[in-house]
Amino acid sequence: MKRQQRKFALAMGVIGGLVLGGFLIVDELENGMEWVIGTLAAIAAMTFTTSLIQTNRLKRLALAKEGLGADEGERLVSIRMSHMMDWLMASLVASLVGFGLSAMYMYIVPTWLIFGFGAFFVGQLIWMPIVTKRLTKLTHPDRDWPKDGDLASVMDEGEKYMMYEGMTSGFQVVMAALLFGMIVTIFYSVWTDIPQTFAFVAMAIIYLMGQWSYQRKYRQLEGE
Amino acid sequence: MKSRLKELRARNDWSQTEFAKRAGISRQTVSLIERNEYMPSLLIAMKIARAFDEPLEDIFIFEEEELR
Repeated sequence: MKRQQRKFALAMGVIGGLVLGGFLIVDELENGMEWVIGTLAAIAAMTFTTSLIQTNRLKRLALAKEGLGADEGERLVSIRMSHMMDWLMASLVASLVGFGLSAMYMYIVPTWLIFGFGAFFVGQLIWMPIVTKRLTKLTHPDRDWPKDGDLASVMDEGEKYMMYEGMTSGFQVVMAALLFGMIVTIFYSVWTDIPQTFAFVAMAIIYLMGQWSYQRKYRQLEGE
Repeated sequence: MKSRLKELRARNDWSQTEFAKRAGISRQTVSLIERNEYMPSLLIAMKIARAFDEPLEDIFIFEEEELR
């Protein structure tokens, strides 16, 4: 029964997102770009609903994990939390892209939709640290977390190593994507004969800031 | 380096979580060491040895080539 309930809740999240997207497409949207924006709204709603459902499932799992055995239960809670964050990040990116595109095509997109995307994006930015803090308490139930929220100060070396490995691979992917974005911008600029100076310079500065921050930390850790 | 952490933990019938509490380290660290994905610092190694009440070199075993 519980499994059926979970499936039902998940299906409702997916259907809810599709209904919202469908409403936007039928009610307001006519051309290609509007279809894209409507679909983005559906994806954002779907992924966010799914992340909320997963958060609740995670809370229930954390309460009932004794039945799984101590290690398996804790491992499962940590992995599920990571999956939940995937959905939340997908929702965050979809709403940001939706906001960006709808603002760029503001002459054909209804104003309420642009503000809706923006408010949804900001709402998630506020929600993310709250949910992360709550769920970290679930994955580390025995810890006395510091009030200032500096989790690294109470982590031991194994936990820091895991975080470091994850962040390093994330950093590499983001930096490679940024370089790729710069190359695509150059090609796009040449192809359309429209200078993309601002976008190119902004990406170059972000890339340099990232590298500078990384190298500065590296030298500090090397003991410069 | 090989570690006998998993074997000794099983002998004492301790879960990773239970052993981590006894040693004063995290379950994640225990899991990483058992999977040979992480070589612990001397401090963590000493905590583990103390929790088992065994000498360090009986828990963490290095090949002769590694020590050369």
